[in-house]
Amino acid sequence: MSGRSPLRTLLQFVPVLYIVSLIVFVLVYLTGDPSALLIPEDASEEDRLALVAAWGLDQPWYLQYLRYMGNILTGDFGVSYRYGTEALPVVIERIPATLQLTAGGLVVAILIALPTGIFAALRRNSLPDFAISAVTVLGKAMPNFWVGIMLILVFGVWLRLVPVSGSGGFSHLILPAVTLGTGFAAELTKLIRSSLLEVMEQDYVRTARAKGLSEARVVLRHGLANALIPAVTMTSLHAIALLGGALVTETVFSWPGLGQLVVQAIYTKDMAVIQIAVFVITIMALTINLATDALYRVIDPRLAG
Amino acid sequence: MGLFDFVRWPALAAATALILLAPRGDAAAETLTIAQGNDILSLDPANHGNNSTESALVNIYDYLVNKDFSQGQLRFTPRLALSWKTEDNIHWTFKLRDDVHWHNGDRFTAQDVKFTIERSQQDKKLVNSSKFRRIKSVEAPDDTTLTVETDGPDTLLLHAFVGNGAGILPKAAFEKAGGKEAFFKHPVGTGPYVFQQWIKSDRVVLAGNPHWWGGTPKWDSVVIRSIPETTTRVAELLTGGVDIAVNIPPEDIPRLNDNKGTRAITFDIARNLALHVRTGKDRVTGDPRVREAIDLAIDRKAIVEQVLEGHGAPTRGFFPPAIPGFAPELSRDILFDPERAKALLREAGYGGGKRPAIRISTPSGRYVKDREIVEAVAGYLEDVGFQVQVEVLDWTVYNNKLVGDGFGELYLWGMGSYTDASSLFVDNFKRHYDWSDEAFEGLAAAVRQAKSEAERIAISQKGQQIIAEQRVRIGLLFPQSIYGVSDRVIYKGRFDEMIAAEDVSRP
Amino acid sequence: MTDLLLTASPPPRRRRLLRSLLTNKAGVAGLAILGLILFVALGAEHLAPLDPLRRNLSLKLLPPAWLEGGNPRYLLGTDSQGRDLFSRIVFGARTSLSVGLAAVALSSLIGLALGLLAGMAGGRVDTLIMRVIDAMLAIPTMLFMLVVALVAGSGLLPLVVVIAATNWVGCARIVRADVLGVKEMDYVAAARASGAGPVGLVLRHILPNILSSFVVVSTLNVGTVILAESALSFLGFGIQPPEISWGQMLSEGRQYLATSWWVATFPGIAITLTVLGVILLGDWLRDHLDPRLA
Repeated sequence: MSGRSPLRTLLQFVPVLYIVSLIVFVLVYLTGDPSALLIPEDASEEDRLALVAAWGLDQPWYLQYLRYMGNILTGDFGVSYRYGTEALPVVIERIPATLQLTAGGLVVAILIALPTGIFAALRRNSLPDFAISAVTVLGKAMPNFWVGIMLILVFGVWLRLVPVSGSGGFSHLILPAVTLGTGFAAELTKLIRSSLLEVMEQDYVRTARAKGLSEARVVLRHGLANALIPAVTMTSLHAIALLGGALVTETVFSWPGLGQLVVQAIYTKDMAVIQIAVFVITIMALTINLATDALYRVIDPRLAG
Repeated sequence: MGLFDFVRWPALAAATALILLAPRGDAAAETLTIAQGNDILSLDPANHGNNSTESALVNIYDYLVNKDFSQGQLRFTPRLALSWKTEDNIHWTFKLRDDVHWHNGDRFTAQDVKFTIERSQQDKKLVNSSKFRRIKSVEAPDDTTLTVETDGPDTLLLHAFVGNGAGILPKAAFEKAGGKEAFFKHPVGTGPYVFQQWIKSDRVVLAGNPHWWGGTPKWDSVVIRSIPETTTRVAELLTGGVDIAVNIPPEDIPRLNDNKGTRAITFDIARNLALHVRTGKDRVTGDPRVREAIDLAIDRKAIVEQVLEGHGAPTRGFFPPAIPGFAPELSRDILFDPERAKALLREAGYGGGKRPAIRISTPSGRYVKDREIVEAVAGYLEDVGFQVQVEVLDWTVYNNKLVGDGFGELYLWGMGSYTDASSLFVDNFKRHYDWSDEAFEGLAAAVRQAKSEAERIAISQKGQQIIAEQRVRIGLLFPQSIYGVSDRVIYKGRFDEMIAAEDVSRP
Repeated sequence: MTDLLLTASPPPRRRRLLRSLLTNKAGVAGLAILGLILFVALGAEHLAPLDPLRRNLSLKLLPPAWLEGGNPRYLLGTDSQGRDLFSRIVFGARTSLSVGLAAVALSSLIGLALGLLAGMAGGRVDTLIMRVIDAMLAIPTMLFMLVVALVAGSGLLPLVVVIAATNWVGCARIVRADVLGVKEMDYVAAARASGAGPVGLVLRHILPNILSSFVVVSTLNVGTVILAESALSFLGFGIQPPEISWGQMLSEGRQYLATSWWVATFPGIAITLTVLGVILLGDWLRDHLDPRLA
């Protein structure tokens, strides 16, 4: 990734966006026609056909696609069948909640992984090390909706410590963020642990020990520095995965993010919303990539140019 | 600078804060929070077909008339319309209230009703565009009079003015906004609560309407939250996050009742569950004896007792007692006769190694315990010798299959939120069930021309009899609704599953 | 690098592998767990005490045998239809493992094929495949799976297809990167110079060198697939009755977690244990087969 100018990256992204939109369109089209879900139960077949004609759903898929793409070029991002409003604002208004949840998940993962990874490295190959690894791996091995519901039951209902669901203040973010963060914490822990271990073998550590400097301090400083680049890579990849992929967690906690929106849109075959949402997620992913590249250059100027 | 100067501004600020934040002498801000199982679909009453959406909208908009089930059978009572009359069921005159104002201050007039009807009829993109299909013309001779002409004698006209699609919209505000998209960003109604905010997939927030024609609204603010995950919804009720939570599984009733501060309520609703049958000759279920065997093999009473924990009523019918056109014979003397079922199958040529194979499809979580009910039914059918394949489908796939007629021999369907049994005739039986019957078709034609309520009811009952006898649909049960309610409020539930904040009071 | 010039193919490491496996607890644990699951899956008919499909509504939601109200005949209790939980978990092992292995096999095959193609062919073929991979990576995994599931339907075979259609991407990317790296190696150039055709090149020189990272990725993928199956069940897709899978059981039982917790918890533990085993084994494989990935 290093050395590529942002402009080139952007340009290479256009064909990707196009392919994404085409794949998504064809797949959603194949899932069937939205009219079945829009009409009320007692509607007759003629009513449904009238609805189909009004929305232009009776045209062949490639014509529908061309019409849709043509509209995009003029800035018309389509109308949501479900909401009856313009699709773009429906998606855009979800972004803050999604960013909050993603950030929350990452913070939780880092808060877990940092002390755990360090501890595991310093006590390497002992029983505590193995136990720690197993426990953090549990976070990854448990299906996350199970984790979410258990957290609600324990910390929400039984202990009454935090609000159970919905968006709201910071306290509403805690349970969903923990649910998401525990999935990622295991890998990050392992990364920190192995980075620290790598450093521990190095000559300059032995030299420092010989010189009387605290081993822990040296290991920590160099180890964490060693871990930084791969950790940033890993975190950025996970952040991108969380952008649209937190849909199970969002459903369990009624968090109004992009994941829930897209799931609902897929269920109602709300093509315009799905397309915009995927575009938006892709662009956010691209932004994270660019930011990560910039971060690399800041961390290690050798990587620039 | 003396001490006084130092302290002056903070003291002033604190005093101001105390004054502004002090609780008022009269009613403190009381919020009613309701948890639904899904987000509303739209703020446009004419553009959705969804019960829980309507349940939110009944607080914002008003209707010409009210559905009143309190006397056991559906009656219509005045709401925006004070009175109505018709001689021939074709020409109708409504007298409207003159003391109603829209949330933006405009006066409500008959022009608004005319506008609402015509708008629905003209915009074919609307989901409920066919709501007023029988209205040929509508006029507003003066501000409080509305005249309607239907395309033939229509004893059901009042039914068109309640339920989904019937909410009255303001002509002036709508036209000023320039179209439905702009208008529904901040919709305006005449109801007891004013729209504040809709955070999609999260909540709808309403505030009390101080100028409501019905008096002072009971609540300062109403929040309708969307919590699709059942466990989460129950958890919110238990922790006091919401006051009313809908669709509680029967297993949680003891938990709600034992918990201090909450309880469970159960009540009858306008809904029935039935098995719909494909009766084409190419299918196993094309043989009427096989269909009768299915009907007799199912122990409906046990299903209600064990799957729904008693919260329901077995039936072979399709409309519950409070709905006009209810056929009482279909809910009496329900036979459970597995021996006779087995005999019928033998008669039909099965037995020994040859077992009739059927597929029965069900959604999962769309209706309470839908999947469990169907699995229980499958068990009973297997007991008498059927070979049953249960197909559990996600609701969206299910709907698609329905429209595409892609089901197997049997599928579960829950009809609901109807107001009259004549809606039985709307369905396309030939297409969906490969079934047609001259007598039934005759009835379907006659019901549209019925000249009196009694006539229409009689025709509807006959229609249900035919369907039940021929087992085109096999009625299973009338489910009850189970809500969780906080002790902070008094609520008994409503037959049409609408939660109007004005029906919820404080102890 | 010099030793690579002198040998035609990398030295065998099997004996070193076995030795280090036995001395590494995590790897052993992982292998043991997976071995147990495999054993249960293969011998389901003999291990399950009762018919997992037999419904009995009057016995629904019985607690595990050791709790009050439990019945020793139903060791782990019963579900909402009165079916024995323990027997269902035993049979569920078979389905969950089949889906896991089949989906991984399919996606790995596709990924391997496309990765090899992209790496070996280069040029426009490579660019096209890379663009498709980038596009696939841009679409969030769960969403893509959901849309494909809506098209493919639910059931065992569609499920395998759905997961494979999404999962091949990671595999393809790694294979391609490895192929590009190995392609430049001296011994490969030497082989090419001595007249080896493209197929022989791939089979004898390229494949063996990329195999290690490929195996690691595929192994870890089994865990991902098992979790994906449970997520799809949560969304309403996945395995349909009468087939039984842990993901299906967990999803069905989750509404009873506060009251009849065993219905969802035991399948959940089964899933967690299996994925744990996969991760432990996969991590150990990674540490020993391909230190580059560590």
